[in-house]
Amino acid sequence: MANRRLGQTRSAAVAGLLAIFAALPCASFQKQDFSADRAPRPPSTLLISLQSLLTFLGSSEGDHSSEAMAIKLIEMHGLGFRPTADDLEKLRKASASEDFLKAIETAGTPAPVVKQGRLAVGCEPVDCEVWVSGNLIGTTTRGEIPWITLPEGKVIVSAAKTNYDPIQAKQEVPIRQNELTRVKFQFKISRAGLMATGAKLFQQMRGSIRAGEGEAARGASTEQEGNALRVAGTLYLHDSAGHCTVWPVEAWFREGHEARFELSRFYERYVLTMTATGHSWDRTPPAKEARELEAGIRLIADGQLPRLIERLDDPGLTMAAVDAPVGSEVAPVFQAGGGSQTYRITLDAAYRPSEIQAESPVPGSGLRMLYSDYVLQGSAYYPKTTQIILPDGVQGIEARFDTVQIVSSQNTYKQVSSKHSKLR
Amino acid sequence: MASLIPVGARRSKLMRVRLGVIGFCAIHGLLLMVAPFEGAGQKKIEKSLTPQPSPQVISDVDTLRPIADASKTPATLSIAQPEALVPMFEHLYRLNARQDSAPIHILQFGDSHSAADDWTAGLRRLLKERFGDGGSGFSLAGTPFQGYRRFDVQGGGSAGWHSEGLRSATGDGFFGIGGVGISTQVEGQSVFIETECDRLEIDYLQQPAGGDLALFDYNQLLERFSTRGELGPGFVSYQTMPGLHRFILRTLNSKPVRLFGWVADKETGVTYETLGINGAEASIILRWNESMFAAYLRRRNPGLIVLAYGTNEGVIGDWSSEKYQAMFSDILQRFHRAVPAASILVLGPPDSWSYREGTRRPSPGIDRIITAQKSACRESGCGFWDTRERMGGLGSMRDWVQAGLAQGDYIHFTPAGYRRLATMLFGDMMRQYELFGKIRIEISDPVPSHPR
Repeated sequence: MANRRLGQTRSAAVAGLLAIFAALPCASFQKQDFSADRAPRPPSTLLISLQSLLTFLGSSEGDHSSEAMAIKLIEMHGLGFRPTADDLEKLRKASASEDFLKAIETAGTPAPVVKQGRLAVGCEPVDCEVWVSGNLIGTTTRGEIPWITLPEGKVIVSAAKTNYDPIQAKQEVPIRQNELTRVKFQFKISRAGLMATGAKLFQQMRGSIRAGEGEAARGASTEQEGNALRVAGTLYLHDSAGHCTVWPVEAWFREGHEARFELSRFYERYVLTMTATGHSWDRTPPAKEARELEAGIRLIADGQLPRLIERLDDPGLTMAAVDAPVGSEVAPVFQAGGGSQTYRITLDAAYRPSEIQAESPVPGSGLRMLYSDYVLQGSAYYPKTTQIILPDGVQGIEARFDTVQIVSSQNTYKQVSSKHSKLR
Repeated sequence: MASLIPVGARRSKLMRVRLGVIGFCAIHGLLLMVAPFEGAGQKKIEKSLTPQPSPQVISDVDTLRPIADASKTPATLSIAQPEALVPMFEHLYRLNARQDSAPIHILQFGDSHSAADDWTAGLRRLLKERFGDGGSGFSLAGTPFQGYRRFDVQGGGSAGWHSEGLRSATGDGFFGIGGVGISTQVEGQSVFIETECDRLEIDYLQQPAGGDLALFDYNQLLERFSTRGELGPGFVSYQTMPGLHRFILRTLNSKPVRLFGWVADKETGVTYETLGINGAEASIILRWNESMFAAYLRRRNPGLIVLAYGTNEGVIGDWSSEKYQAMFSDILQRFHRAVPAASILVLGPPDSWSYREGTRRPSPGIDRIITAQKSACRESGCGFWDTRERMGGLGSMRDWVQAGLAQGDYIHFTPAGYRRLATMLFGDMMRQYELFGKIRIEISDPVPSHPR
């Protein structure tokens, strides 16, 4: 049971190391280690000399109780001298009992008193492993090891954390008797750490968009064959002059980069159908508006999260978290880069994308896509609001959808198509 | 005979008897109210009490005698084998001399005398006043039995727990350090403790299908943890800010959870931890899983273990002195094996009376138990404090009942009685401690420091 577990963890090779561990107070939250986690009691300061024993025997006058206590003290502390035959004879003459003499004969000499001080180690911004003079003494909990007891003298303290680089790898500190010495290590995430964190953030982003667990996971998704995402709301088109055109819209997005937008304004109604290879209008709006609408709708369609993830899934892209200042936690921002394209992706508290910015030195660099107001539909989250801002910061399109739902696309498409045929 | 006495005379005689009884009770009651039970005021009670054996009581003792005075040094050695307490005295000495700030834990195992926490609370108060408050130490989780209490800590729990162990100690033997556990398989069950500490530990049964728990301090979630693992002793510890805390543990799923208790410690000082079980006999310790018990004992690292059993064995048990001594020696060895550096002090059973042949008499079994405990302690190098002797000897319980220091069952004490016992035991211990300090100074060279 626990003893066996303890037995596994204790080995002769690390006996010295465990002695240091035994001095650890419980790091903030500790579980399942039955080695004593309190500081060991300081060594004895009682030195017993022959003269003091003779004095004691003279005053105790053979009192059995006093002598028994003295024997116990001798057993506990040992003697400050090595008794000779002469010494034993002197004690016998001073009326020491046989038990007392036996205790004197069998008592050891005390271990030299070791002066001790305490060392506290802290790590920022992550927990780290701590070594003292080459011996691993443990891992910080919530950023610190409150204290360990060490012999007086200088020690070299070092700390390490996978995927992090310490600003100062080793520190030499003096341990002084009865004093607490504090050492702090600051870490900066390494390049490998940034990449590992970036890959992790990307996976967290994917996972957060798909609900992944609970009831929602059992719902439908647009990936299921025959399903489409239906949205209804308003498009706000901002042109280079700063004018805004408002278009009520109803749209369907399907697998295979297919989409259908129905735009209406007063008595005008236009339907734009997009496929992987191109697009077509059922009735072309005025030329200028058609160009603006086509460009804006293309941005909205391309900015749909499933398409975005598809693009980021490109094995040629490398994920890396954005570097953080020394001692600071890495923020949930990562870059996906490779070849000529680089995206900077900022995640919200639930690891869903809140902003994606194209950073590539190519046309379109500086394009920003902002997502907010996520809603769960079927097994995935969809943003109800998407803003796409062109690099000039003026032009762009904003889609605000009041309705987001998963529908059976085949039926809906047919119904919608027939409905609009009648309208036409 | 009665018919020869005129009715009026019979009535007046009856009236005189009644008046006499009422008068005696009134005076007695008045004196009890006026005179405090402890200290010098006791003399008033002693003087006023004339030998008036109750009609129900056959007096095995001649007359009422003075109740042992806590302030007086006993004529004989009050603690047998006092050298057994030297390791604990050494800790106290060093704590006092500020050579070592580590807290000293004292664990008292016992029966209802201990479980009431009156006796132990008295000792706790006196020790903490002199050596500092180390916190409440170990206390049982929830309300494992009706009437469970600790005067230095508030605790309780929801209704969905059931108790394991207790006086029968039946079951798997996994009852932690206190011989008691509380179990549930219901999500959302909770226990709480309210106490001052800067370090908390939760002792639980680690088991293969163990459930998950969440620990809160007031409303703040501190940690979630699982009790799942290889079958054995489990604990989590939590370092916190000094001060008053209200820790709450809540089950997070419908898997089995068994809790043993809380440990609430401070950086330094003395803890006096009550581990009494109502109706318990010493032999129940042998029914607790030894390796688990030893693991928790080692972790607690007590400076002193106090064992206070014998009343139940003496009153209702049928132990022979030899059998009891062998069993009691086994228990002492079990403690020695687990924590060899700890001092052990056995408190012999107090005087108690029981009914035999329709009359109340001093329980004859107590003699056998005391003899057996004394012998076992001598053999095992443990201290022994003869409670009955310090009460005044065989039959002294009647005096304590008459003085309002013991209850009408002639077995248990009143709170004042337990306080009296605590004061006497503390006084006797401290006398030995002073002697220890004197010896320590005499045999040490040079003298590093003096105890207060």
